[in-house]
This record gives sequence, C-alpha cells and structure tokens, in this order.
Amino acid sequence: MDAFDGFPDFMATNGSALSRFAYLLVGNHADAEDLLQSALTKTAVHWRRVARYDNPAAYVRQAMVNEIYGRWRRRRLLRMVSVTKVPERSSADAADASVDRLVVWRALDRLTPRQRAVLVLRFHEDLSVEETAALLRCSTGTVKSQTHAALSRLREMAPELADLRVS
Amino acid sequence: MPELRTIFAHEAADVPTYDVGAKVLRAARRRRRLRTTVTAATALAAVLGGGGLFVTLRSASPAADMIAADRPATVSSVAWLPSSVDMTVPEPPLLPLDRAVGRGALIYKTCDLPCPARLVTEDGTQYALPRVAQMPPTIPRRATLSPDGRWLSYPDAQGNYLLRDLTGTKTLPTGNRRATGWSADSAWVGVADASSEDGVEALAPPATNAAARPLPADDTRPLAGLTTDGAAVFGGAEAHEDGNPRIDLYVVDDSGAGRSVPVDVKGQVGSTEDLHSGTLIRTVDDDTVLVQLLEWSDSKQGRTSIAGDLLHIDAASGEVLARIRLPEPINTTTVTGESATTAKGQAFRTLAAVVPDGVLLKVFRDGAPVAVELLDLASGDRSTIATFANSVATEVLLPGES
Repeated sequence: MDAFDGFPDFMATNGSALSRFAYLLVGNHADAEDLLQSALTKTAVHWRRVARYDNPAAYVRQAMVNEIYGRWRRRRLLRMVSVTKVPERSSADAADASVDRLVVWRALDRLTPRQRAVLVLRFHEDLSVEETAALLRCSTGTVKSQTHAALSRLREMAPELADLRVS
Repeated sequence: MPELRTIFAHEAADVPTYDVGAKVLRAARRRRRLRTTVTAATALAAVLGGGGLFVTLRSASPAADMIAADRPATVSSVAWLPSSVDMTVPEPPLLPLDRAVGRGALIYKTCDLPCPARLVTEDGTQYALPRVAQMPPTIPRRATLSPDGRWLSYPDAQGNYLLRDLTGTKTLPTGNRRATGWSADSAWVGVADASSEDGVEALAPPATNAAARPLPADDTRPLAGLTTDGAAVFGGAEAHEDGNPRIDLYVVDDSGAGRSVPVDVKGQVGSTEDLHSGTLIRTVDDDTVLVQLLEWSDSKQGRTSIAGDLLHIDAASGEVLARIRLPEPINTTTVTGESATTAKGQAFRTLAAVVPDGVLLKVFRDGAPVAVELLDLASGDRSTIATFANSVATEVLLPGES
C-alpha cells in the first residue's frame, strides 16, 4: 500500500475550500499558495495517521495556522497599509460596498495572525467557539477574547469600521 | 457597513484552487525517503555505541524539518548591542537612579559572589550594579534585562529586588521577587520568589498599572516565558518512558486555564544526545518554544555533555516543528595534574534568549563566553553581533535571559 493512498482524492475534494481558507488567512495569492503547499506537504508526510482522523481537513487548517504564526514572527516589519486610501468611486451603492470591503481587508492585514485566524474561523468557516478553540488548541475563553480583541482593533484602526457588524 | 461574514465570502469567492498537488507529493516523497535513511543511520550508531566503539553520529530528526544553521557565521550588528564589549574596565560607576541611562544591552560578572554585576547599555557605557552584602550567599542575586533592554530587574544593596525602567527613572519594588521570564515583546514579566522561584506572577510594565496575575505552576517546571497576551509556558520536567526522554510543557492561557502538553521527542533525539533536568526552554512567540539538546561523549574522565542542536516545538500541540542544526560542538577535556582538568579546545553555543531580532546564542570557547550570535530560525543564518574582548566573564546575561 502506498503511503499516500487517498491523498490525491483528499486534495481534489478539499482543495478549493482550503485554498480559500489560506487566502483569507494571509490576504494575498502568492503567500496563500505557499502556505497551502507547506501545510499539505506536512499532512502528506503524516497521511497514514491523518487519513484516519474524522476530519483530515481540520489538520490541514491547523497546520496552516501554525505556519502563519511562525512566519509572522520572522517577518516583524508588517506592511503598513493605509486604510484610508481607497479607489475611485464608480457608482454609489456598489462603490460604497466595495470601499467598505477594501477598508476591512486592509485593516485585517494589521491584526496578529491569531486574531485574524480567529475571525476567519468564526466568520468564514463558521466554526463555533468550541470548534475554533479545538482547532487552535486553546481555551474557549481565549477564542472569545481574541475575537473581541480583533474586532476592537479593526474598529480602532479605522473609525469607519465603527459599525462593522458580525453575527 | 456589511457584515464581516459577507466581506469574507466576497473576498473568497474568486479564489482559485491553487494547483500544488504535484509539488506536494514530490516534497512529501522526498521527506519520507530522508526519514528512512536517517532512521537506519541512527540504528547503526546505536549498535556501534553498544559494542564499545563510540561513534559521535549526529542523527537528524526523522519527522521534523531540519534547518541547517551550521554554516560559518557572518559578521553583523544590531543597534542595541555594542559590537565589542571590554570586560576589563576597572570599577565602572554605580548605576544612577536619578536619570535615564538608555536601554540595557547585556549584564556580565567577572567573579563569583559577592562580586557585583555590571550593566552595559546600548551605547557601550558600563555601570556597576549594587553590591549586595546582606543576602545569604545561597540566594541568587541575578539581574535580568527585558528582551527590548528597557527593563532591568536587580537587587539593591539591601537585597530587595527592583524593576527599573532604564529609559527613565521609574522603579517598581518587587521585594524578594525577581524576574524569571519575559514575553517576547517585553510587555509582560514573570516574577517569582528569588530563592525558590515559586509563586510566579505575571506583571505588565508599571506604565499600565496592571495588577499582578498569579500563574499556576508546580515546582518541577520553571517558567519558559510569557506570551504577548500574558499567558505563560512552563517546561522542563522530563519523563523517561521506555528510555526515551520527554518534555512536559505546561501552558497557561490568558484566562488562567492550564493544561499539560507532552512533547514526545522520540525520534528527534539521537543516540548520543539527551535532555536532562534543567534543559533550557525559551518561548519564541505566542505558540512555540525552543529547547536545546545535549550531546554526550565518553572519555577517560567519564561521560560529559555539551550543548548541541535546538528543537523548535509547537507549544499548543507538542509537535516538534523543526530541528535546528548548530555547528558541531567540541567537547574536549585535558587533564593537567592529578585532579585538575581544563576545557581546552572546548567550543559550543548555548541558547540564551529570544529577542525581536531573532534568537540569541552565546558562544563559549575554553569555558568562557566569547561572542553573541543572532540566529534566524527560518533560514538558519547566524551572524556574530558582538564579541567580548579579553573575556574574563564568569557569567554573561543577554536581554530576555533569566
């Protein structure tokens, strides 16, 4: 039996969702592809074990989160992107929504990796507090406090995000 | 303002599926081939060692990434550490309390107790710390610097510890409690009883007036460090199950909840390597730690050990993320006379601290600290950032080291 039996199928089934997750974690395609490749490689090396898990995709997500923590420490000088620089408006309603998304997207760049990961897991992957805590290997209290801290920081960085909504 | 969920969904909608499958499988196959090769080599070393022929074979981790950090070091500098420190300066002035002196770069001592320690600031100025005569000689009088060099924890002449802002004049008395660990960003300091290191509490800098927060710990696990949100990692207790060393981390999150995280280093530790009590653990960032292995060798004087490679560990899962291969240590001893031995020709590096610039290593030759290197964990690049001219130091403490 080959050590990677089933792994190509796993990648085919989960590749899209994991690509989106990687992109939301790091905010650009180059880093996201690199991140996904690194996490999948680690997963493949341990595939015989991981394949038996209930949710191997969660293992890949966890590997990605661990990876970005390490990369952030190595890249101390964060990109300083002004959240007030926005593109020209074209039409009223569509432009307003576009501007809002751009403001939020750039503000996300200035969160810590843990804060950003918590928001992505909670509000894109739709994980519960408990599921997020399990994936991040921390307490539910930490998830809640990191969520609060992340949202507060977004609002603090850009006053126009004061009414940023979450459900 | 739309919902955050909607914003995420919109951004994610156009993300393509990254085509990494082929590259992933190639890389994974290569790593599995390396594991098979190294495991066989490790087994060979064990057989040869057991047969009386000692082979110092540095075995690589079969399951963790290997980062080669054993290339020659370049020469570089950092703003906060003078490139050369003269340790023969006679009687520097006492550290003043009424003015700022600038960030600390390192602390050193040139003799044993009751010899006072000396502080070197980032501009190279040296100051003597108070001579403490009243404390029992068995109580440590260890001064420590925060990773950013701003805060100095040290005992005054009466033996009471102070936490001093070197960039100003603010001083916080901490009684008989000294700093035993810092967060990488210097935002948090762990203080504990100077003699027993029991009763660790986390303190935010005095500027924030935050109250001290007790951290649960036991007496077998020293503080490895704090995270940027005031959580803590304790470590060092080893259990030898089936003859294999194991590290037990105890992680306390910022809500105060603690949990054990066993780190199984089986397969990461070669047949000529070990951990033993007092193995140094340092926090790297909020979620990972570094631990240093020891290499041992047999000689006429018996079995001796010397500092070796580093392991980078995920403190949340206990997974060994990488092994950092440092230059091969040289562990030689020379018998001079009937009872004296010297460490002539001995050379090794010890894991000192983690600062914003990277990992600090202290270089020792013939038993004395001679230089400081900065290690980039990702690339394995090392650079010599300071040398100690005429090194007569018995001890050197770098920022973040406690």
